[in-house]
Amino acid sequence: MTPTGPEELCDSIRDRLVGALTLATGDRAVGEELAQEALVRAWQRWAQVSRMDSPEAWTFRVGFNLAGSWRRRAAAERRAHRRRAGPATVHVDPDGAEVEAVRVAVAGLPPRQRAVIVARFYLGHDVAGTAALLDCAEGTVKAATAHALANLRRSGLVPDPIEEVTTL
Amino acid sequence: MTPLPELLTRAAGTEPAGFDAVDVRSRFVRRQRRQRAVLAAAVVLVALALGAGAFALTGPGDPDGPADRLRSGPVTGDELSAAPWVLTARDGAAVGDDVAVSVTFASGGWLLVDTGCASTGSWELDAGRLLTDDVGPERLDCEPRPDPTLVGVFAASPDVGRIAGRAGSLELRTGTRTLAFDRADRIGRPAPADELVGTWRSETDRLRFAADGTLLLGVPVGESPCELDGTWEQDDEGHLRIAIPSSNESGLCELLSRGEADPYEGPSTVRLDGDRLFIATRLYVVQLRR
Repeated sequence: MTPTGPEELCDSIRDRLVGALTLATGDRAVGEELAQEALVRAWQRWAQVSRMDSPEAWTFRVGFNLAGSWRRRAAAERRAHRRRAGPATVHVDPDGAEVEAVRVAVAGLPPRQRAVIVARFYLGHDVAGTAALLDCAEGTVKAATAHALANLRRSGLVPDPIEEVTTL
Repeated sequence: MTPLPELLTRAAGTEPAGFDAVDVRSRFVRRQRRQRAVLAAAVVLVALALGAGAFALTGPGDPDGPADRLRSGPVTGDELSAAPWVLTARDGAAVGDDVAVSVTFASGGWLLVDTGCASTGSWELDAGRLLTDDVGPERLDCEPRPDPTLVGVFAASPDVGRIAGRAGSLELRTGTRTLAFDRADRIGRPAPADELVGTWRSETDRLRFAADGTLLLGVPVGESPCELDGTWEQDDEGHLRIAIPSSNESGLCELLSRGEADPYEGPSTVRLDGDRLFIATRLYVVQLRR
């Protein structure tokens, strides 16, 4: 159902958007920040966004693109930091090790694979829904899903049985 | 083993978002106010800054400036970041006039490889080799996707050098591939005002220079096609200055009118090479054709 205004869009997708962008960036705080930014942009352009087939899909795409930009900047900053101060020290909470491992593995996927994994296995879209959300072909979704699952399998997050692959 | 959807749900966090529609609206309103204030201040600041910007851009073309330094000694990071670079040849073969690829080595270590679909990452020079990190497309949905063999050169730690006998040139060499570039502010020849008049196009931009100093700047494609009227002039140094009044539109028109769509935002170098026009600032270059 198309939201009648930006407030309704915000209320209906903000939790899922934050979750998706947390996975896309590997950082909950960044996910919240980027989700707000994506929703602000939807608010700014509501006259156009409201006429689209899916304002929700547009906002998620903006969010994923923001996450991609953030990752590029973060990588440059990390590199600069390494030049100045040597290897960074990373604090890992042992209790959150599994969560951290999942975030790192998903955030380490190439952009399209990451978006596809989040759309399909976190947001629960099927192939067609994911293709519509990401504005790409269903074949692209299938290929990206297969590659992403293979990468996650190498990280030990996905079991060898190809249950997910057979649902492509 | 925990199913992937459950793992992802846990990793995404199950707590509700720490903001609501009221927060988003407040942020939207604050941004609107700030943009109006910035636009008002920009009228004054741009007038002051253009003088300094024009001075800075004259450097590369001066006989006593960086142009001469390019002809001797090793390539330095400052030289790489002085201007965008336009791809002229791949593996020794000149690229076609319809190929518009450029690369920017920004001084902060930010790398932009623009093939029509921007790939970004970070860069540094290490003993004559270019080291890059995490070079990939900026947007998920941009087309055409960057040619992997081209972007791959940047990821392969190529040697960086000049092309013998060609000032303002750059070559990236791996064991199997070579990319040659010309500096965007040196390519071809300076464009005189009378040769700018007319309509120029790229894949995404349309620019019409009228002889009376008016201008039509458009982005006729995409989700938010728009066109804006403005004015243009060339200063005594030949730099192009474009002024676009603020827009009530949103999206691309808003960006253009706020001066956030380089290379139209400040004094730009304008060069002609055959029937191609290059408009370049220190970070961005756009290639247009009649």
